[in-house]
Amino acid sequence: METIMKTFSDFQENIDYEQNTRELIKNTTKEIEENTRKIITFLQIIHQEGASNQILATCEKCKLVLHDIKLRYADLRQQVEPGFYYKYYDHWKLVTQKLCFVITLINYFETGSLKLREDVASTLGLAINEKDGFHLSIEDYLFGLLMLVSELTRFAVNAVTNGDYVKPIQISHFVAEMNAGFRLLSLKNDTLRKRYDTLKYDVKKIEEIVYDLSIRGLKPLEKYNS
Amino acid sequence: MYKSKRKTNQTSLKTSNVSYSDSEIIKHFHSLAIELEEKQDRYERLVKISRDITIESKRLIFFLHTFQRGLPEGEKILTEARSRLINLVKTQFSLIMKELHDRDIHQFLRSYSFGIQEFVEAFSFYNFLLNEELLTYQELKKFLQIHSQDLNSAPLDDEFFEKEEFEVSEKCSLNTNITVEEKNKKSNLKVNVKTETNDDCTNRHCIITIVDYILGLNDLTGELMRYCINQVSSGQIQTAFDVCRFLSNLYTGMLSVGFNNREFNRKMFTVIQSVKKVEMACYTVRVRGSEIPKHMIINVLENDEENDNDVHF
Repeated sequence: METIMKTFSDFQENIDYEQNTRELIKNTTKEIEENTRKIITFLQIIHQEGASNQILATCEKCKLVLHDIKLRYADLRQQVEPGFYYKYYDHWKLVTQKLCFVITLINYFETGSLKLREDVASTLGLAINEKDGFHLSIEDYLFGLLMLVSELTRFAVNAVTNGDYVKPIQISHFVAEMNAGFRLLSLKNDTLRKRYDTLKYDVKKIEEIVYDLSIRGLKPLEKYNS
Repeated sequence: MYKSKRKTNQTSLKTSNVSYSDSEIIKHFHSLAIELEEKQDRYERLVKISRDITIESKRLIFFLHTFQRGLPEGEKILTEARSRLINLVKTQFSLIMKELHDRDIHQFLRSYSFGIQEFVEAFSFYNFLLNEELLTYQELKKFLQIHSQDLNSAPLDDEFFEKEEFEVSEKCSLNTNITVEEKNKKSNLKVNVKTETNDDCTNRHCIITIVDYILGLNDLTGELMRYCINQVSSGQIQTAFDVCRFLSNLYTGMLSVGFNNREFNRKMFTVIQSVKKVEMACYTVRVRGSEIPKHMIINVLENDEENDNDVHF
């Protein structure tokens, strides 16, 4: 009986310890989530009419918040013991995916290119190798990219509405390249795969936009494309 | 006019195709693909290992059910069971450790935790038959640590096996009540006999998590129930009562923890069924034992079960 009770009281201790860790993590991720929502709201300006000249300024504003978020990730790194990243992964998984999305989106507006995983990771102060502890998982990055494609597609629709016919063409090239990239991955039958399956609708939409522009002669000449 | 337009479209497609192969995005995706595949392959390999562990553990449990206290074959059964447990650790568990070397086990936990639970079930059942005590998490970890092989480094030396003998003799003499002093002695020994081998188990990153251990104990109750009923049917009434007491103690222990885990709660439902069934069996033996010949008791129990509409295991 003693052995049994000892076993279960040890287990209870273990549960309590884990619970405390979870509380700490929850508080930190809550702050990250709030800040991320803030950024996403800021970025909605890209869809507004006549706001194209404000986009870069908005990006700067977002980067300030991102800096804050980076500090919170440093807190998380403290709170999660090495080797326990995936035990508590669910707490920050979604928000990290969203951050990958906003970071790559901001970068797209600034440079027109894709921000690579290691650069996204360093923006958040994360490692990319599992061995280095708190890191940016490959799946989260890919989720972020899929969100990016969706958002850019929506942006392309609104850009046309707002009279900008150049950006949609650029985006169509970018999305086509991303699509080609995703095809290189062999995805398992999991959530990432399901999310990936919606990529083709985004691709289709952006192709339709390009078609609409071409057929009406609104497509800008090749030299503007690059 | 129309033709030329189509042509330009084709060429533009072509140029974009050419640019793909050396584009930064595609290069990046190539490296991501490699990493992702490596992860998936590892996961699949672990699933396979886990399945092997499950099969062997189930066979072992079946085998252990043939054990009967006091019979001369009993010793033999336990010895064989022990060597089979050791063998599992040496082969399959060492493989898991190799796969998870330097990695976060929680990422792959789902791939192999089922096999682990089955193993805990078999091991704790063996341990109960051996000394009627609960296998503790520490003992389990130690067993793993001693018998696993590091497939990443050189083969094991003699020291390693001496240590094993020490452990066995200690276990026999001490049973499970290890005092603090002896614990210290043990840990000193651990330092002296340096085994880089089993990092995976000395620290908190043991491939068997405490949760899997507890879930394995949940499963143990089902085996104890079967064992108890078998004992009744073969006339080992005292053993049956012993098992019943142990089982209800175990259940008390499980009730004492506030563990909000879906699988745990699900398993607890089966646990109470087992406990009730065993208690009912002991009750029947006590009440009607004197009036029914021993070999008939099992029929009575089975009738009771049917009346209770209990789940059959």
